[in-house]
Amino acid sequence: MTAIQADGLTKTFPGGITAVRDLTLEVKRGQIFGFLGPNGAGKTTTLRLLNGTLIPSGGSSSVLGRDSREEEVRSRTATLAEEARMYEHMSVTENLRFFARMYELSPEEAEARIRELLGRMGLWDKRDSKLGSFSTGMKKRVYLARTLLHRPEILFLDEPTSGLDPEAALRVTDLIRTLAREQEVSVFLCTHNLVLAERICDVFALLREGTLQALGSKEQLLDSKLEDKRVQIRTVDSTSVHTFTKEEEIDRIIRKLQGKGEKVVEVRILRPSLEDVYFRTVGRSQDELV
Amino acid sequence: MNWSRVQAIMGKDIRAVTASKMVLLPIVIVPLLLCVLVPAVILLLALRFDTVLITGVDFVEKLIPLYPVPDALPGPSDRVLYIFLNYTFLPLFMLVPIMASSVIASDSIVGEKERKTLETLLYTPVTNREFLVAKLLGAFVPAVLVSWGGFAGYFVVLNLIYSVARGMLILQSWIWLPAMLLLSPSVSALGLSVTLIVSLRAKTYMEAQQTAGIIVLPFVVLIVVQIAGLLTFKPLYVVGLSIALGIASYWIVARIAPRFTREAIINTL
Repeated sequence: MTAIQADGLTKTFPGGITAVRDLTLEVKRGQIFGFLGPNGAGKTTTLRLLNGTLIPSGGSSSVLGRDSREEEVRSRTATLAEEARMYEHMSVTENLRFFARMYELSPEEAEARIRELLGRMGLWDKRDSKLGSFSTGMKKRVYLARTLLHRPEILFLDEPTSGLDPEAALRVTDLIRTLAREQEVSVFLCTHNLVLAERICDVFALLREGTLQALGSKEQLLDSKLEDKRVQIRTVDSTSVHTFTKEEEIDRIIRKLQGKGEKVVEVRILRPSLEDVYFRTVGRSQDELV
Repeated sequence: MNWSRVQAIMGKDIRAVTASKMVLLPIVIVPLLLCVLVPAVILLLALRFDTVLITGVDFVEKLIPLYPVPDALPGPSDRVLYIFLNYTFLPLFMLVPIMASSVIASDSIVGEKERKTLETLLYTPVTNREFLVAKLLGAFVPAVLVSWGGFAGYFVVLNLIYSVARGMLILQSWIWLPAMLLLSPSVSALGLSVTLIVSLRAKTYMEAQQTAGIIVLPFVVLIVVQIAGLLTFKPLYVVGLSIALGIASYWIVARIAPRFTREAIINTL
């Protein structure tokens, strides 16, 4: 079943800048969808179009079978944005009670859910502390609890691990994955953190300058975007990396080295990563980065 | 319209005001100074020196026949005092609701942008209409209450001082009834509507405050005009001014409301 559908989605801002251009994609129920691209690629604009905050200039999008702009979409989904915060002068429970009212949870339902989520996040003992006194990692866990209050069917996450140290980032990532699997929540994850994406996403979309460059599972992307694979050959004197398209070519490379009097001691096929696809497709080249 | 959401946002905004010294101080200090301390000091000085400072001044004495003054007042100096405290102070009083509504609205809209909490709120199911109503009421109600509180302080403190000195009340003009029930709310609404326009563009609380502060100028002109004797405040004028300001505020809000969408707000973040 389809959770999110975008057809020719386009957004041009009043200044004339087109942030998203003719975007078509589908996210299935229960899927963790990685939406990848560099800063300024149009990831956040796409997220805001899909969750109904922005009105498209062209095309359309639907969430759970409804037009993205319908109020019901916001009731059945949740968004955790990179910069969006909660109220620091209020305690954790006061914050969560406030957002529970926004989602029309009854007081009893809200209290039960707050207890359950804070217990899950390891924050129950801190429930009466002011949010302003928390570390970034703890705040992120509270933000995540807020997004899960009303049992959303879809989570829109924009850089959920930004500002976190590697350990906290890993904890949040695992939490997202566990929640998505246990509660069959679809996740639309905007990020340029490839390690995070590769760890939890089922499907990936690569965006550059508002245009979709690639879409598919990791295997599909590797097959379609990385025609030449790499092999690392270690000889007694040196180590070299060679590209090949068919495995038969490896034998020819080895024989060529041996013909030069080199003694091959190790042959290792380098497994391409999502990072390779990313840099090949949307990222800046290593030369540009330098 | 989901009133539970509206109430929750209003309550949360009022708590934010009380939690911020930068916002709370002007709301407490300005009414205290304008409504209690400054008038009380003027009254005490006037009573101590038998108003020698203001009687005998030509333009001040010319004001006496322009206003209805109780015959029971002991002399011309007390009549001048009566006019000043009942009529001349009235437009000065209006600075309180205008300041309070502008400060609270700036904090609840632009301040929330600045603290990066507005985006989180806009991602919830709250509708544009609920959001706007909550932000308007959340500033309007406290602003009116602050001006009423200021008036209560003014009424009690000044009447107490005068009654100890002269055995009667100094604040007894009926003009305060329409001023508090009609003019104060309509002035709050005006301050609010101007702040609403500013808040669509402003990125910081200070920027919003500085721009919206321009609305104070017409009231300063009104004070000067009244002291100069060019305009005599009467209850009917107060009612008329209240209606005019109420209509102006409604017109501004009605024009700005369609532009107050989550898309417009989020684009200014």
